[in-house]
Amino acid sequence: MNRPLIRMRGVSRRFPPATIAVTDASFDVFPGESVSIVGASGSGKSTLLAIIGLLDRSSGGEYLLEGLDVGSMRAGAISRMRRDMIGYVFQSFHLIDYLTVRENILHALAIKGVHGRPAHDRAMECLERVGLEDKAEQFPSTLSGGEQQRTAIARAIAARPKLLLCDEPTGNLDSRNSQTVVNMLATVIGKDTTLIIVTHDPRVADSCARHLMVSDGVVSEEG
Amino acid sequence: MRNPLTRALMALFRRGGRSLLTLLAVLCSAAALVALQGITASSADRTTQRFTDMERSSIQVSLPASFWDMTESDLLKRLDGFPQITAAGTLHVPEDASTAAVMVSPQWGASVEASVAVGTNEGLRARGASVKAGHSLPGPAAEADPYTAILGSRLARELHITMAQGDPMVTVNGVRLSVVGIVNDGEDDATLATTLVISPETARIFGMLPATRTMQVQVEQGTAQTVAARLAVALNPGNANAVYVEAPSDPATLRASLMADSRDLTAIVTAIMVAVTAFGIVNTMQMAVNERRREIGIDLALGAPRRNIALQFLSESMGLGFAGALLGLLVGAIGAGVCALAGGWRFLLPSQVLLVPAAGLVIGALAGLLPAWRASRVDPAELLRSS
Repeated sequence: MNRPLIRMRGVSRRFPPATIAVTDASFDVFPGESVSIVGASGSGKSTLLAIIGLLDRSSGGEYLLEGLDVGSMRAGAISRMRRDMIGYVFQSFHLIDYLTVRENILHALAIKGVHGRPAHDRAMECLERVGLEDKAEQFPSTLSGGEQQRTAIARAIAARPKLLLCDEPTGNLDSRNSQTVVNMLATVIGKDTTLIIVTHDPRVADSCARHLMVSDGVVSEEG
Repeated sequence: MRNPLTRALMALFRRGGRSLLTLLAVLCSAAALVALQGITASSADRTTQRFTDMERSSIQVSLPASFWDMTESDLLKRLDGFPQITAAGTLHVPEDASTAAVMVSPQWGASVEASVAVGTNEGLRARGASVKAGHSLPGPAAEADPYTAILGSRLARELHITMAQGDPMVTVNGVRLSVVGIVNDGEDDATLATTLVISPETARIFGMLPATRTMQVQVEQGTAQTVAARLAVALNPGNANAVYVEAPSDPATLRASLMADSRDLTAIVTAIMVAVTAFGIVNTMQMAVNERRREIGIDLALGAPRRNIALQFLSESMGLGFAGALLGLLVGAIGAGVCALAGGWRFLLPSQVLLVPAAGLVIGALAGLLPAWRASRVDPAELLRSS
């Protein structure tokens, strides 16, 4: 049996003085799975995603990522793990305004230690996969919302992450672009890439094989 | 709807960090401006004082205490070989409050603490002082009344004493003295105005003879250096080293003093400018960190180590410091050249200015430490919360 990529047991997150964003989250995610995390606004979905993606630390419980105890890791090891394993797609795209589309991807690859010709080739390959090869030299402000999100997806997959996290990837898009992005996520990621999508959109959630429900910080599995 | 003033106050106080940075930047610049104004004014005043001192035609001589045993006329005879001397005499005016005594005017009950000077009429004349009311101190004749004094004009006012009063008196540390006159000090000096002057004979009776006998010597313009060089030997041929002669500065000494003052002024101005520059860089970089929090969060989310973030901002700060200083060197040199040309001066630029770009690099590094550290502490989870 495969070892889970993600194992959470009793994970919680509290914000002082008395806000409990996530409480007693326990679940496993295996390599290659696609999982949606659904819930109402303010339910704790994004906080859970931040913990999974090592952007935030839990207040309690155990979180094993690829068998390693995240809670006992130092900051340097955590940022290396983030760099080597995880890709992000944010609701607000979060592209760097003064870099072109291609440079945004090269920037991400540079952080992951890929430079020169290999980086350029990989950047163009990713842009072709998301259909933006002809927009490579444009700046994000000249792109539509859907194109910016596709750029963000290209950036996220450029370093071939084992875990791709998407936080409301269609939240700022219209229905047509939303469908485009959802279809794209299904096709561009490798079969070994684990996909976790936070969404409140049922159509986006339906694109995933598993569904986790978050309500008032409590995580449960649907179906 | 709140009025603009209320909104402005809310913004100022609720965005305290940013407001404080801007306030500190303005404070720094204003403080530098005021400090520079004050320092340059003080420096100019000091320069004026030095020139005034050089132009002075008076010499002050300090003789050992044993000279109190010599009469004024015998002492002045030793100056007969100096035709340049226009006036000379004994007058010791204390420089601190160590000889202060309590003076009371019995008629009015006014009480003042003031200094006691010991001197002769010749000494007062040599200082340029003049008796404006009454008459001068009695001479050393045996029948002269030793219990007499003259008052400085301001001291007389404070004690409510005028020569129009019949037989004005003053009590000094419990001893009554007759006030025989009121004196005005010499030009540009007002020390005597708050002083009581008694003769050496009176001082001897009260045990108030100073540790040194001070002479005031007035000379013709331009002869102070020549006279001062020979005074010690003339007054005390047996031990000239025991005589201290304070003469006006000679041109060489003045030049050295002015150069030293100029160096000090330059050093102070430089220190102020460095502080202002450093603070400007801190302010700029901190604002850059604030404005680029999203970009920093993206880099951290992508896995950039925090030290790389800190190094990036530190490098930007050093680059700003170096580039700004290099350009400043060029602009400053051109500006100095233009000013020299316009003023008809010789254009000089010390070689130390070549260190300015290096100094800019160092200042940029030091000033950038705090903003760089703060950049590295950005929380990448803010990206998710801000989506």
